[in-house]
Amino acid sequence: MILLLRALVRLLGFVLLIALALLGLGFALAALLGDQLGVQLEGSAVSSWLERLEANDAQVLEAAVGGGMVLLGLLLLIGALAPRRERRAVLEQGEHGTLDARRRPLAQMFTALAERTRGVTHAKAKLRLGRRARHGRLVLRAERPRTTESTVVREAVQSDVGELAAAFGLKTRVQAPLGRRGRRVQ
Amino acid sequence: MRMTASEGMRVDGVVCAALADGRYQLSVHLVGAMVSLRPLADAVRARVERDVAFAGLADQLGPVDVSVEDVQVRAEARP
Repeated sequence: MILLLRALVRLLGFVLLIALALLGLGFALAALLGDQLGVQLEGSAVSSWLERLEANDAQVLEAAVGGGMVLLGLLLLIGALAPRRERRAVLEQGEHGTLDARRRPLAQMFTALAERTRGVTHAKAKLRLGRRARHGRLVLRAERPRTTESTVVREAVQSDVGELAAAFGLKTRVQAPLGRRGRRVQ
Repeated sequence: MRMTASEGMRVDGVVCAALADGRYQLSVHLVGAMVSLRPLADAVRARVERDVAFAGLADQLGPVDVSVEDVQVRAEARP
């Protein structure tokens, strides 16, 4: 459902950008070739704006606003049309190829590893990948029962996930707060 | 979904790109269980190299990238 909504938002955003660009193009054509096209802008807001632009006293401000709007439009178009490159966690990179993983499944793996650790009632991994390969930060929240010391759980989780995290070049931080009532220890 | 069209067929999970030196780079996108990733990548590469060699195209094979797209974590029943 969320994926569908996101796709809808992207589609609508793209359509609105195209509509805005066409509207601007229409006004520009009407201003430049209005007589030939039979379009009259006389008395409209666009006409008065163009008249102010032609006036001597307000040119700098109007040109700055116009230039800013053009720049904003270009940035929006780049944002809408430029392909996004997904950051991936790289395990190894060499002549024979690259071995990498997407952020979400890797976070799932860390969560599963942490949840298997003795003394952990519930775990959640948050993974942020850096711009450069083999740079990122892993924050593991491993909930524990009152009967287990925080330090013990942190060390156990670090021991279980540390090797894999280091292989991906991730800096790891483990939190071990008290778990909610009703959650059972492994 | 990443795929490559080949002879009217669709090869899901595989992307093949031509390199400047005339070879072809393969990217294999996997959905797997929680296993050690390096041995998995080695096994995938060995299988690809074997099949490519069998087809007589070994000298055209470039790097083989292995990408983990998803992991199926088996839910364990808690006592």
